[in-house]
Amino acid sequence: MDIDKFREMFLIEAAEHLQSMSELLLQLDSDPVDQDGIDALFRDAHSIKGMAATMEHPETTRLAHHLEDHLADCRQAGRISGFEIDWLLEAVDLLELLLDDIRNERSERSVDSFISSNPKSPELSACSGEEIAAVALSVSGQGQLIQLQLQETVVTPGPRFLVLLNTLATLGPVLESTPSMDDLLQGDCSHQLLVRLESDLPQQQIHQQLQQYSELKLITFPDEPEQARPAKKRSMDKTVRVSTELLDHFINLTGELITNRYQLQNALKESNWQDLNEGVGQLARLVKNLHHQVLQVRMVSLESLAGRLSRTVHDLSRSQDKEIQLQIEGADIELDRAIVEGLTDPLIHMVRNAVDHGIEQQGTISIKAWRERDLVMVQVADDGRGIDPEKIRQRALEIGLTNPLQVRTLRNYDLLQLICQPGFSTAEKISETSGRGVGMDVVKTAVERVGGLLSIDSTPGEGTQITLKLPLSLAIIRVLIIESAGGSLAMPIARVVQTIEISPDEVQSSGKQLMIHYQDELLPMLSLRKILKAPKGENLNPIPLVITEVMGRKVGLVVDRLVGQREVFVQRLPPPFDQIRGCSGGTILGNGQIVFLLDLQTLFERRQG
Amino acid sequence: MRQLLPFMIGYETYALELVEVQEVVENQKIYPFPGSPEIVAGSINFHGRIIPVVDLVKLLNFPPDKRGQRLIVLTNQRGPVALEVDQVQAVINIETGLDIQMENYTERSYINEVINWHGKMISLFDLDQLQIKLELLCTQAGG
Repeated sequence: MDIDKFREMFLIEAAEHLQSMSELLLQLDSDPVDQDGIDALFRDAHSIKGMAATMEHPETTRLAHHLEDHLADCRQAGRISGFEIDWLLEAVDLLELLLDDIRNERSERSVDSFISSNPKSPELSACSGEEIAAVALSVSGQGQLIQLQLQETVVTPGPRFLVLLNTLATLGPVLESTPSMDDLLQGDCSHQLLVRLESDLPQQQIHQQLQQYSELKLITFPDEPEQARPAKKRSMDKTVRVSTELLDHFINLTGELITNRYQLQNALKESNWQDLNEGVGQLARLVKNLHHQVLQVRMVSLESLAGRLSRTVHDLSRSQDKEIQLQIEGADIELDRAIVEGLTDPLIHMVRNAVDHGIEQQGTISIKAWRERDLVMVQVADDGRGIDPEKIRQRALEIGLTNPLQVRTLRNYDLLQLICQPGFSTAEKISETSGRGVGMDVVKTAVERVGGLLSIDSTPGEGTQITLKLPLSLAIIRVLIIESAGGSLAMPIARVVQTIEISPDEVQSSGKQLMIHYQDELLPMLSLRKILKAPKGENLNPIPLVITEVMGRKVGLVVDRLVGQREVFVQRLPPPFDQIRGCSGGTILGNGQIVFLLDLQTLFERRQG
Repeated sequence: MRQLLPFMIGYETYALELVEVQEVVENQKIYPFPGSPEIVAGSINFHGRIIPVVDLVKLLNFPPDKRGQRLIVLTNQRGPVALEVDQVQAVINIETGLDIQMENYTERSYINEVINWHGKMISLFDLDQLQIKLELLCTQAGG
């Protein structure tokens, strides 16, 4: 229990040091004699070493120690070479992988080959050889797995297993067990126990030792489940650092709420309507304030992303021998941490695409963030070759994306959006450069998953701009409430292009598909009732429509009634229900009614998949 | 000593360990949600929290029963999630090893053990199995 908590703290702090290291290294790249920078690097490496040693992660300790030695030399020399910077960046990457191992409770990967790749390593490893030997000893031999299963008739499996664990401990050190000793002490009552035992005894002998326990139903020696064990999701949202100032605000607010409560109780007892009225007014103010402060806790700036993006540009321009400047504006804009986390990969892909396919030899990538009312806009722009709409047209016809007639008449801007269609990608077709370029459909889906919209604009020869429109927070968002098949549903306003009402005469049919005219475009009409597999409703006149985007295409969604907009607090469903596609959470309205958030995108993904 | 909360589904008596139960509620409006698997009836507003409801009658393939809705809300360690059953009975206390007889019962799903309570058979409902089933269904309905 406690060790988990410490591990979590260690991982967070180590990650912060690594982040700082990679930022420092990138700065040193342009100013290699910056003493303060080298000193700071040294301190980061030193801190990681110290923490890792305390937590008993030998490989991480060894690598951090090695870096510290190396940086001590740099400190003496007063400079750091470009070659060393690249090597150190690699080391930072390796440390990140080691942290991943620790996070997933795997044994750490070896750092031997990396350390020997250091040009200076022979002399270094000689002087720290003793230490390495000592470290190596403590992890030698991964031990073997033993699985024990008790007879079902055993009423108290916990104590039984504790006895068995003690017996096993006489054969050699027990490295780990599932459930752990703590779990067993707390009364974990499964009938199975998995033990990792470090013992020189052959399996047969261990088996014999265990066989004397008649309550054991099964003793097996399974293979390493390493691969099978699902990797824990890399989640940063488990813990948050909150400034003490903000915490004080919370305490003050709580105090005021308590006072308010007594005030209300009193007023109620005395049936004093005026006091009651005032009290409720005050309560409203306090709750609003509290709400604001709580949101503040979840907000993080885009700064944290800036470091990683600089790194990506640095690495890519080195490896592709291009000269690329990265400009970042508005990194201080704050967003809900879940959104920032969800944006990391899409932004890296966009920057990667800009380097791979946009910029030819030299150029600038600029990332800009700004607020627009209660939305945040993020734009990734390059001054590269741009995207040729004609090539997209050809490609769209080639793979039969939409009907040929439509493709021929599409405006350039709309053609560009087609890049985000699934199956369009394999970017080589648009630009000649080979690319591991991730499909834009993946990027778009990721942006939509955090409630945003993505649009592309490009002028051949001048560059490409990709703009994201994002909600400030995932927890409190503006939604459009609609009715369909007797129930209410909500759609995030960021996903709604427009709501309109049309007369049945405006509906056209193209084969089986009903279409409507919307701003010079022919959009397919989808019935929400049909999507939800609800019975057909009566014919409506006028027909209420929500213009929205599904799988990168605008569609007209037919609903029973448009109710209106409002701001709601979104609750995610508890796991595993949060995995269900089609519903991204729900909200409780003032009258106690639950309204679920409709997630059309994933609902359709599921149907196609 | 163990405390069990017996409940009926069809003519069968099942039970849960009382420590797993947070509250029993009735007459709640269940709001269906888009994309939910068939055995998930929807969600209820449980003291301001949205809690999914699993229809045990459907899960265990019993014919629907209109005796009135009873929902057993499990503790937060279990999701939280609510189980819809036909009828909830009074809590019973069982002295371990005294008037309790357990059999190895593997043929039928969602049953941990069967308890002979003064001649009445009570099946202890297996929440772990339910959890696995739900995870499977939800990710299928998802990824």
